[in-house]
Amino acid sequence: MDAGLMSQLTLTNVSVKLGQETVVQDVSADLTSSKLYVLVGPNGAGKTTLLKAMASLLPLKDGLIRFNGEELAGQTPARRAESIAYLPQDRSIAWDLACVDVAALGAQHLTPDLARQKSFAELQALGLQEVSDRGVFGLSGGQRARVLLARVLVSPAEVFLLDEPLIALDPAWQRQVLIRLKQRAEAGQTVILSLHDLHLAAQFADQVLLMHKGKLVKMDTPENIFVPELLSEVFNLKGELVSGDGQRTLRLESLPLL
Amino acid sequence: MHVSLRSLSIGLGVAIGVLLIVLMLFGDVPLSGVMWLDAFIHWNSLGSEIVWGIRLPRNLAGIGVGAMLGMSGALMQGLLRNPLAEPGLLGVSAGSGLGAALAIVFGLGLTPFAVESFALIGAAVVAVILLIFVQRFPQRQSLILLGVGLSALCGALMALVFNLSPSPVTTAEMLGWMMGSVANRNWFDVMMCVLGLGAVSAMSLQLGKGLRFLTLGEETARSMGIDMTRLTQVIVIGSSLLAGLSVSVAGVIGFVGLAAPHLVRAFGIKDPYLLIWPSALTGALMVIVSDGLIRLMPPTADVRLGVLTSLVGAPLFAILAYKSARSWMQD
Repeated sequence: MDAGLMSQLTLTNVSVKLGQETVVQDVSADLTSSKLYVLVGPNGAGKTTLLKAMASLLPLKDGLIRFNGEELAGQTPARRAESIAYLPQDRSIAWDLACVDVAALGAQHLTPDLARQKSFAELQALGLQEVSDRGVFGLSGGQRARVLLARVLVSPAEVFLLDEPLIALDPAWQRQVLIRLKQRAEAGQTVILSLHDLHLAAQFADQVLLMHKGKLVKMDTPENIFVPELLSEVFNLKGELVSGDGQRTLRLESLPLL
Repeated sequence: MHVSLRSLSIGLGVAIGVLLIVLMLFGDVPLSGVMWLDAFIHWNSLGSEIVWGIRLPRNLAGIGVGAMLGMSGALMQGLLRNPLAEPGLLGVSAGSGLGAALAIVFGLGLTPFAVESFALIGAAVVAVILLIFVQRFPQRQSLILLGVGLSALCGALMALVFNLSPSPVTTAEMLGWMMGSVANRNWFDVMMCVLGLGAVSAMSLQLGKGLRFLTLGEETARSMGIDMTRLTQVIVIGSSLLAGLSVSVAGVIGFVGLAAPHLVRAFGIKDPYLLIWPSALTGALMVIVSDGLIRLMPPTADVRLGVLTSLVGAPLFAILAYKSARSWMQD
């Protein structure tokens, strides 16, 4: 992609407080388009809080977040929503709308007909063409998760922030969804997701953001993140990344609990 | 069952129209053919007074009050993302009832517009407290908690007013008001309904995106560009205005606001924005059906409108609660 067309999400010394506790501390990173970023870290590392801060759902205690040079805090919610789409962990849907109508909520920039068409295509890509006209209350957890993901993917946003998008998905669909997200990144969007499965993070991420105790320990390629020292320090795991044939495989074994 | 929004609205509109005509034909005083003719020719005749001065305003007030309750219920359920929400949940109806009770106990029961005005003031006081609170805590859980608290407080104060009531006559008058009725309503009441419905309908036109995005939760709605504080304020104002006006016109009429949106959903219309207006029509139909049933009973029975809607509504509420409980078990 031409450098001039690249979009950029810039975090500068971002800290976020929840109650009395500083949950995210002094995080700085430049996230550019056409890449798939994966946030990893143990429970309580601050992944969700950081994603919410990037989506402007939480006020910053310190620092600033800019998109293409413009500070997000100064923009109206509607304007921010045009550039950034967010998928929360909360999968609740209040009313029994048809799947295609739920997905189409993300495509309000289009006419209703076009929004439905685009949503149907996205549902199809996520294997839900059979149920697209059915109410969401009758879906399995995995299907519901994919419908909600489709809502994000039909939006015109340049940045997708996805909090644990693979929860409730079976292994086959976890990979399919990551392949789909990778395609979107290759098409020029910035995809940032949090993930607990380090194997999948190692295989699919262009860049990994390793978080621990609210801090960004390191942002780098999987090869440079999944090294024995960091795995043992952050996750209390013994392991290493093996690369070959264009594939990255993470071998892990647990260490005795500290 | 799936019915298009258009067909459902037309169906409800026709049903209301037919029922209105039927109800116009019956009343405490039977009208002869000559009296009917008089009603259309001689403005000062008894027939004219009964038809245009008593029956039509009563029926229209019933339609208006039902529509306000149905619309208010749909707005509350959409905002709170809860099928069990209803206009009284946030304490506005209780505040309104307290206002009316105070007017009666102060001896203003017969002063024109006094009870209505006090009822509206009671609703407005509760609404203002809610709005100040929303500015600081826009989350729906906090709003529900405050509403339940305000409702309980107004209920307790109302009990105190009953307790200290100067005479059994005053108590009976307050009780009568609490049980709800559209009998003997005049054109002023009808006008209040029309103004309330018009104002809140206009306000509701801007709620489409907000209510729909809110289907996916507050966080998602905010991330999609919705200003939740503003959305909550607009809905609290609209819903309070409707609930306050309905109590002011007809006293306390329970369960219409809860049930109307459910009945619309049963026809396949699940969109929280699109069901606002059919819920209003359904509420209107429910109230005039109930009012019609009351008029079929012998006058000595004197069953009040609010009592009848609650008698029908409470079991319905229990069924809905049971269904919800079952669906939560499956989650």
